[in-house]
Formats: sequence, structure tokens, C-alpha cells
Amino acid sequence: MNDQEIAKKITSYLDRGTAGLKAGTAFKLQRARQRALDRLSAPQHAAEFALAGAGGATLGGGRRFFADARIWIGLLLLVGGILTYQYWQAAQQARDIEETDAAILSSELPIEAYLDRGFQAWLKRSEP
Amino acid sequence: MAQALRALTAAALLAIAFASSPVAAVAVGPRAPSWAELSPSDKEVLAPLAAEWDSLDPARKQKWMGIAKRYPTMAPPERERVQQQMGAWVRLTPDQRRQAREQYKSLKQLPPETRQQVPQKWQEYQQLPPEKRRELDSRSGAPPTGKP
Repeated sequence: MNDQEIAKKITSYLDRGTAGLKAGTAFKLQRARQRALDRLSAPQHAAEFALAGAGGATLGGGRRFFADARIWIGLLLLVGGILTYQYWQAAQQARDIEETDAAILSSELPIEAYLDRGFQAWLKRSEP
Repeated sequence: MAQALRALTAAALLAIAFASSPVAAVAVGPRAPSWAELSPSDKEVLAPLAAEWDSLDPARKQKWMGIAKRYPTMAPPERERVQQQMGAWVRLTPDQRRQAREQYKSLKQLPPETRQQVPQKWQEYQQLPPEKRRELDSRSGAPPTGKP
């Protein structure tokens, strides 16, 4: 009997065995496999974080670098900061325009006076 | 390390580009209610703008709503002037409005006693002969703006 024949025999035995498995046993086996896989991947994660924490000097590629949540938080803060500043600046400018327009419209001087360059020149000349 | 740094720089530039793009500005831009959506009190104050309102851009709508909010705090003669002039103001070109604001700000810097005399001066100026006024206008070194 050569190796191949032995293997065939074993697999046929195994196949028959698995076909006869109870549902509960199959479930337990699946759970155990899952647990084993989880345990296998956990230490890898830990190593990645440890590397990230050790500083950029030990890091080779960009991909692992971007796995660090702090990079994303930093970028998010940057974008948030720029947006907030822009919004604040636009609001400030809008308030200034609103204030000026309200003052021009309510002033005793008609709008034409603010637009008349001749008047502006004349006013400057008649200033003491 | 260099690769990571390059990647980070690229991402930061991308973030800045997004944040300063008009898309972001629109996303945080002001609300723009239609004329029908305005409150009855805003409609009353802004009545001279009823015809133009829906064609105004959001920022201008927001500004006019701000002016409407200031309106109750104004003295009766001021309120009257605001309502009389808003129609003309809204029809000015952006350049004319900018020029008027600049002129307002420069007048504001005059000493109080001189500033008080400005409306009086305007009356005097209008009494000048038209040729004299034209001459002043041409000598001011800027193209004539004409009436609003």
C-alpha cells in the first residue's frame, strides 16, 4: 500500500466521521476554531500599536504609519481647525458689512453722497 | 520614515485643500430663506426688497435679515431712511457698494465736529454749479460713478 492509498483511506474515514457529527459538536468545533484564530491575530495588533508608539524612526512604510489612529485624529483636528477659522472669519466679515450697511442706510447722508467722488474731493479740500 | 513623512504631508495638503475649497465654504454657509419663508416682521421691514429678494444670494439675504434685526433699535428717522434707501442700495453694483463702504469708513475717522457737518456740506456741494462739480469729479482721479 503506497502513501496515496493510505491518504485516500484516511480521508474517506474522516469524511464519514464528519458526516456523522452532531450539530452541537460541529458548533463547538467552529467556536474553538474561531477562538484560536482570534488569539492568533491579537498579539499582532499589540505589536503594531507598540511599534506606532515607539515613534516614527522604527517605521518603514506609509501604510502602517496610517494605521495609527492619532494621525487621523490629527488630520481631523487640522481640517476642523481650518474650517472653524474660516467660518469665524467669514462671520466676522459679514458682521462688519452688515454693521456698515445699516449705518450707511440710516445715516443722514444719502447714498449718492458716498458714491460722489467729486464730493469726496471737495470735502477733502475744504477740510481745515 | 521619509515615505511616511511624504504621505503625511500629502494628506495634510489634501485636508487643507478640502477645507479651503468653496465646497467647504458652501457646506458651512448661511441659510437663505425665500421671501415666503421670512417672518412677518422681517417682511414688513424688508418690504422695499420684496421684488428682488428671491434673486439675492444667501450671504446678502443673511445681511438684510441682520439689518432687519437691528431695525427696531433704530430711531424713527433712521428707520425711515433705511426703508427709503434699501431699494437703491440693493441695485448698486458690488463695486459701488464697496466704494460707499470705504467712503463711510473714511468719513467715520473725521473728528466728531467735522463729521457732524458732513450732511450740511453735502447740501452746500449740491448748490455748486454743475460745471464745478464735474471738474471736481474729473480731478478726483477716478472714473465717474454716476447716480446709483
